[in-house]
Amino acid sequence: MARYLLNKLGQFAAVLFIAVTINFLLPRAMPGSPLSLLAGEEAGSLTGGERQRLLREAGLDRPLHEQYLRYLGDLARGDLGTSLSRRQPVAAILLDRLPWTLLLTGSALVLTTVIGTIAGAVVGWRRGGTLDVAALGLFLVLESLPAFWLAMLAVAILAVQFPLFPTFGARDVAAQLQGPAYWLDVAHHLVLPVSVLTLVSVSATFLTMRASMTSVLGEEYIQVARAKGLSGRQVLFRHALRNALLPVATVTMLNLGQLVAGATVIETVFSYPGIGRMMYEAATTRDYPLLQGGFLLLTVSVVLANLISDLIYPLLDPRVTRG
Amino acid sequence: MHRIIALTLIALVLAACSPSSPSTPASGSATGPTSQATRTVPSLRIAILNDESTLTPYTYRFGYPGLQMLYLVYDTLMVLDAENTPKPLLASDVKIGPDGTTYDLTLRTGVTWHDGKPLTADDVKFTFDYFLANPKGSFTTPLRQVATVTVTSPTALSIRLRDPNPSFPIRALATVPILPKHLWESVEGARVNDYAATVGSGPYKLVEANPNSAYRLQANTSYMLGAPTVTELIFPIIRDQNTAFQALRSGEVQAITRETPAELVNQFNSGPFKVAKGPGFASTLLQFNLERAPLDRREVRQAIDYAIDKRMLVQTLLLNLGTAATPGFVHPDSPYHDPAVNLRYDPNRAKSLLDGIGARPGSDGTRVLDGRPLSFTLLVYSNNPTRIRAAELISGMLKEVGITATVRAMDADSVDALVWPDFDVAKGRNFDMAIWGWSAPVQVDIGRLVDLVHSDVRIGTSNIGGFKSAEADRLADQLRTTADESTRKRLAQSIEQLIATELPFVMLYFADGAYAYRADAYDGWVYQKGQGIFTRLSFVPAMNR
Repeated sequence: MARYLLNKLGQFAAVLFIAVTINFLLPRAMPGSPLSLLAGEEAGSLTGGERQRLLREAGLDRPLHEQYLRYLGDLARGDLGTSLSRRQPVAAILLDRLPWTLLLTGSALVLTTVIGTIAGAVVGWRRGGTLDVAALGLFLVLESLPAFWLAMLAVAILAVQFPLFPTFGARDVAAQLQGPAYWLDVAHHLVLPVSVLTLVSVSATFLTMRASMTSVLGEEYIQVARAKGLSGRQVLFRHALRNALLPVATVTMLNLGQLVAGATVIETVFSYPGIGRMMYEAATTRDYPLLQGGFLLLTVSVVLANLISDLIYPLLDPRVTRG
Repeated sequence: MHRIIALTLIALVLAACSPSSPSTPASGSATGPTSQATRTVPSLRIAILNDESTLTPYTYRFGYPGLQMLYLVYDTLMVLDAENTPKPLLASDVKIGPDGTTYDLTLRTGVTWHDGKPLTADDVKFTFDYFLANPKGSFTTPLRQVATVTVTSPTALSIRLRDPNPSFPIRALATVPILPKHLWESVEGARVNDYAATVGSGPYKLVEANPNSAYRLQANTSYMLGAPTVTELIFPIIRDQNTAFQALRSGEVQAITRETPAELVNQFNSGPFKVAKGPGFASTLLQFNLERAPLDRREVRQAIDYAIDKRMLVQTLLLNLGTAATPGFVHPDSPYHDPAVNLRYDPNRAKSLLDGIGARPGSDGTRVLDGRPLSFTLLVYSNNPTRIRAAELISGMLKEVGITATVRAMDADSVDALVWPDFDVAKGRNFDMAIWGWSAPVQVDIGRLVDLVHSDVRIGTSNIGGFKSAEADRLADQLRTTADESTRKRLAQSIEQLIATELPFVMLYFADGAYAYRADAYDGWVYQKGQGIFTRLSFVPAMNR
């Protein structure tokens, strides 16, 4: 077990190093430069000397390998640099946005897993029935709905036609609320984005659970359980469901890694201050430090989620370590 | 155990989402009932579509709306009125010497910064020196021509220019925000971009700048021209245009700084809504790379101009909410426009021009000139659907006369890197044609024609196509140093004619400005010609008198 652990940690470090290097190179491989961010409007009217000076102050005039070494050095000291567009430390921006992303995608992930698992289990139990056919159709339709379209529809109907929910943001920026009123407001703003995100992502869990349930029900131990005279409910929950959960755990773990990536489309339509939208903006404006910081956060969380799932898997399924 | 970890995580996320630490006390009922303004509105929410960073003179990002928001906080020496005429602001009097190089300014007395300290001529001199020492595109460039600034009294100063420059009031006096010396003198060069404190002398104080959610401005009730008409301005950031207009419908915001798309204008013309309309000076044009054959041949450029139906573009793309552009760059409504420069469209003329230089159609219909097909790549910003459609329509029109233009949409920075590498025309260019545009200020100051056509890379800083003409250089050199207004107009018209003949670019259209807002919330908007309604003129009526 110790060797297994060590092996995994070694892989983790190697992947992280490669990812950090790619994170550094990828933004710089794009055409264009952050000069317009440094010079602001009318960058074209600056003299060559003024341009050089701006690049020098941002450390962008150095050869690529020097910039890379400096980046690694800063990283080792825990310094993610300063965003060129926001003029704030990258770490502060990420920390500011991360909670909102986690709130949005985390809530959606919980809902997705719970709804997907229960619905998949129930339907899988009664596969081939009317309920199964109807549910399968419904979830396939949900799967194929474009997120932006569903989000826009939700805004148009539930925020404008029937003004039940706010159209944008994570909180009311005009009213300076405190205490329970603040939290109610945050929850109120969360309803539409989380609902849409859940609707468009629930199908994967549902389909996995249903398929898994179907295959488990064909196993001999289920027949044994039935033969023992156990009730349907007991067979479903004690024998079938538990074993069928393994693939769902994998899907959930994969989703967990994507948790901090946010949901760019949903964040955009609802103007929710998440990481996904931030990354998109950093890419379009060539904000190298912010992009690097965002990528790093993503990489670490995906790799970490994989590591955790690798470590947890043997507990869920003892066969893994033996193999 | 698992439960504890899970609960801790949830608690952490929620804690991080909680209201930001002790909110500034400066909000709420700061304005007493003393305000005499007859129709003061307590609060207005205006959506913006991008963040403006920390909203200081060094960090705001866009000329519109960022710079206009900045002007609510910082004053300039002069202000452009609705007709774009410079009027006194911090300077109560501006005397221009007979040779056009000296400007004697008298400052308004009793003006204070938001922190209560008095604003003096020293602040003005400091500001000029500061922007020259720490480059910021739109503010440093117009000040480069300043030779000396002499403070003669706390409320008077004299500015001497190297050469006479009639554009100075518009480009510098009405543009450069005056900074408080007592705060900025301790901000060292490399740190200007990180400095976040915003203290100005303008009609509003910035009380909150959160690039994640909103900017909040509070009226400066002791403003020199009287308290502004809206007590609190909130600019929420709504990233998605469609959502922004939904929020306007639902009443969550009362205006949007983004222009209302033509297809939505009618929807907002009734009920509590109104649409403010006026001419727009932001241009859309087809830029050529004049260093690349065969676009270096005038006949080819002229043929392309004749082949494009600008009126049809205005009808189809803008639903007639716009003006078809005449070929000489100058807006037809500009006082400098030469009425002899007319709109052109004649596909047959285009064909005969191409026939005339021996460009005959090849097997696939594309004409061949000197053994090479007239086939080009047409670059366009992928974030601008109107321009993409323009590029596609133009491609179709060019096909009719035997020219192939393949539309290639790329993100803005990638297009810029090919058309205008590092925004430095000295660095050359690597494209055939691109849908391009210049913002409204370029049209407001006729002196900018020099930037567009001069072949010296230090002067023609916007000559992105590499246009070279001795005649254009001669006229441009005269225009940038001539003070006499009628001579200026004559020179500007000569350059306009020259552009119309030589065609370094083909002018396409000017989109009208249309801005939807809730009239029941606020109806004091002033439309600044070519700019729109989101300027300080809309909140301080005295500026427009």
